[in-house]
Amino acid sequence: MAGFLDKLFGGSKNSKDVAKDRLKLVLIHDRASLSPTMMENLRKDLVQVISKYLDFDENALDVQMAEQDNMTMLEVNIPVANVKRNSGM
Amino acid sequence: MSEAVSFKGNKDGIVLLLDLSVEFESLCQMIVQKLWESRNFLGDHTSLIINSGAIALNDGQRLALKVLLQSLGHEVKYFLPEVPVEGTQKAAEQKISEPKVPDNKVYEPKVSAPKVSAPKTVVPEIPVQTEAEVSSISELADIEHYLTKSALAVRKNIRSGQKISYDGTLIIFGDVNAGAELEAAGHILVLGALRGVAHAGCKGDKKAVIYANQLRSVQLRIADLIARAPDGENTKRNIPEIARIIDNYLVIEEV
Amino acid sequence: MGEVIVVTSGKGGVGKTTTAANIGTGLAAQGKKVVLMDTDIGLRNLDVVMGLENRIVYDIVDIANGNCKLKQGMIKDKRFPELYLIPAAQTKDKNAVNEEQVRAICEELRQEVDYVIVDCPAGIEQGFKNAIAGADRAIVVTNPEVSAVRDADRIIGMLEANGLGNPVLVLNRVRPNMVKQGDMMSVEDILEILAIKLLGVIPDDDNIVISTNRGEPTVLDQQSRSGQAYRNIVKRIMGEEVPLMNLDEQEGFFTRLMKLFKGN
Repeated sequence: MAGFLDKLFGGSKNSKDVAKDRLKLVLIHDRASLSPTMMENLRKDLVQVISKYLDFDENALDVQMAEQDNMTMLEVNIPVANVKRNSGM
Repeated sequence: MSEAVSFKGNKDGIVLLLDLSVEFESLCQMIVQKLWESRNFLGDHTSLIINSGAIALNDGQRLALKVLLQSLGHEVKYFLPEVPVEGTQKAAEQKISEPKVPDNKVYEPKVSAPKVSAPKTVVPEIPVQTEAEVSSISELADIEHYLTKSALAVRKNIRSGQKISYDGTLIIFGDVNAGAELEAAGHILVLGALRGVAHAGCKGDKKAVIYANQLRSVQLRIADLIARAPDGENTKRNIPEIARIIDNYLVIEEV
Repeated sequence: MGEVIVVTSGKGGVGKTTTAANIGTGLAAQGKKVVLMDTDIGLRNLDVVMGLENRIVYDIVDIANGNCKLKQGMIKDKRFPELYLIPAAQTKDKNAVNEEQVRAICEELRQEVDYVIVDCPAGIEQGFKNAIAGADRAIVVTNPEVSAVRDADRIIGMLEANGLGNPVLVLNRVRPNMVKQGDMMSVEDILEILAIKLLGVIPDDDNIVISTNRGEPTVLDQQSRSGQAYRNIVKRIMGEEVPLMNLDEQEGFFTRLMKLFKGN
């Protein structure tokens, strides 16, 4: 009865909508997930490119996938030690 | 309760006395146990006289016992009483086909567990081999998993996906479920329900037989003959049956 | 030149085998020459769903390893003269066949028949790779449940990665009343999420249980709604345009009573 009243007054979502929303979120993650080897390759490539411009501790470079507001983001954290003056040349 | 299976001596040798008031399938198990317990006394190979008291055994029962004794390394010298007499034969059949609980009438979710409550040390238990594990049959021959040189006994329910192959006679104390496979160069005896595929005489022995307390296979094979259960509703009869080749036909008979 | 269609799902228990059996039988009922092939080694079931379990002598592993000829391993159906089953092996390891062998079998079958329907095991391991090895197109079966849809999505991705783009969807076990109440995802909801083409929708139907018990595919049952849904799917596979059936016309006791009166 409570469920029925909730529906009547729009108090809570249909269970199928809950299912749909949850699925969408899960799938965003599933679809974006990279295998550990791929992640490692990405990391290596990033290190290679960035070290042309910046001095940083390679081991401190942190790469991960994250979800935010229904979007998949690639997060890269690099503690920079020094900017290379003659970069790009 | 006096023993349903016992020994006695007469002028011709050792007599195995059977009490036919016990169900035939239980009797088979008791015989296996009795012979196993008495293996030192009996030796490797003995001719036994089988005396079933007042009631003569029928043909199927005789065949089953011959196979059973053979697989235990012995043989049947003769049966007493000699020929099934008309009157007594009927009585015997009635006795056999009248299980104590008429389970074809009373509904019971009969998950027929292996009826090996009585025997405790019949045979050493061996793990069920899946085909991947049974690398070669001769390897098994070295292990102490036998009753005799020619028989392998397994005390276990054989489940779907499991397969047991053996180069002699195979005795299963337990059920063989649908999807499981038995393959033996000799006879196959299942002291339980047989629902899986059984292939006796797989190397071409047309004298091989398949015995089961409840024969419910969808398919049976002896030597190069294959018989399949008829399509449609299968009749679930709770009586021991034996399959063998007669005139190049695979015949299933009540025991 | 026949077509090889794999029926897959990722998740187990969503109705792959039932769907494969019904599509195969339905195509045979339309006069097509069909082979049903079970690639679920170690957990075979297509034989019992088809009611052919008592006829098995050779299986797919025997064919793959050359223990028997392809023809010997094809079990003739009891209803249609041009419907065959290649059963999976039950007592062998699931790695007993490889992709090359399955592909070779599919190629050989393709020369002989109009359709090869491959029943794929659950999961994404070797069995899945085997099942899709020789396929031209794929049917993905799912239920309106979060877990099943998620696995279907994963499978669709893997199919695409293996050159089987554009798989089609069979949505199984839909309960129209629950959909109406908003307690089950609708066909539209699921299509929106998976973004693939729909092949058909099968209503949840007690007849499936009954027909599986009997080993008689429901597609042959003219009375059953799931049978009708499968017949429609079969026609669509053969290239016919068939509108989706209306799942709402669930016959209640009352309407049936009315019809009875009318009939008199």
